Amino acid sequence: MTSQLLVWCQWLEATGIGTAVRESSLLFPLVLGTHLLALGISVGTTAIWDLRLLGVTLKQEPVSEVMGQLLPWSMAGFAGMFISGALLFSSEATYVFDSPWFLLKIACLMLAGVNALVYHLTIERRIHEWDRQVRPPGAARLAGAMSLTLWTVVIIAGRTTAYSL
Amino acid sequence: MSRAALLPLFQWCDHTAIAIAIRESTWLFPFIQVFHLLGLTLLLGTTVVVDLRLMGCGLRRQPISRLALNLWPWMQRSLAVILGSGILLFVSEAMKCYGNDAFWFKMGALTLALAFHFTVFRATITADDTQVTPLRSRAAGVVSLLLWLSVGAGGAAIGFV
Repeated sequence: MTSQLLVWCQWLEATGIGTAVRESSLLFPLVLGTHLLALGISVGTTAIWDLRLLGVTLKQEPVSEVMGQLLPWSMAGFAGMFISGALLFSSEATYVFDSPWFLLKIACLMLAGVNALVYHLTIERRIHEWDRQVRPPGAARLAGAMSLTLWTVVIIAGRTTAYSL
Repeated sequence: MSRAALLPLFQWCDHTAIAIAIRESTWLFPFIQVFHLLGLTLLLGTTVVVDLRLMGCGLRRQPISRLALNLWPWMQRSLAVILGSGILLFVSEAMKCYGNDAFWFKMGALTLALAFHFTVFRATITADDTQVTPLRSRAAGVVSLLLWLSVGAGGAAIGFV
């Protein structure tokens, strides 16, 4: 399994795209810049939902109102982040494959996805009961705290991966 | 002002007891960095949402001044955490920063971002919504977002140059 992944990373790194991003002095910062811009939009808007779920800000606004208006931005930002991230990954695949920080980053990204899914399938189903509460129920606050923590770890691990490059 | 004029300040920072303590510890630097990036996540969140709103996107059904009332205190708190932890991170590698062009870019962008944040930006978001023209509002959102992203990009680049 591991060796198959490594072979795949080697192949990816040798592709035209991987080589172009790695070797171009303009392309790498451009793609990294896009990654950070998209991160700003995606994590920025997500952090506000999280703070609303925690009941610490935008207390007068219904939770569904905050989420509904910000969701398209979180999603668009995530798409930009994913595409630019895939390009960055392709340029340094074998190195990154070996980095424990990168594994931590991917693990936290997946956990953030699971957290959002669990929230969506459980406590959000009854959102009409607590939509206007200043302090949402414990399960919703837990989802907000988890999301905020996981995304912060994703940023820390991502930055450490790049720093040790 | 030339960089060289500030060299003694950088040298002094590099030799302070706190700088030495952070440098010599394995865990202190990453520990402080966690606070720096947690603060960054919160500043990013509050600023991006207000900037988007100024541009007429995102939380459009809420008046800007109501968002400002809620989010301004979080901007201030996260800025305090970021600046406090940032100063600690900086002194521990002051001499490394001195020779790093990305660091100087980041500090230039930060000065502009802070100046804008506490003047035009603050005045625009706290003003009565009817008093702010759409053009002024959009311009303030775009400038704020670009300035803060420049700070972030400069910070990310410190590790690469």
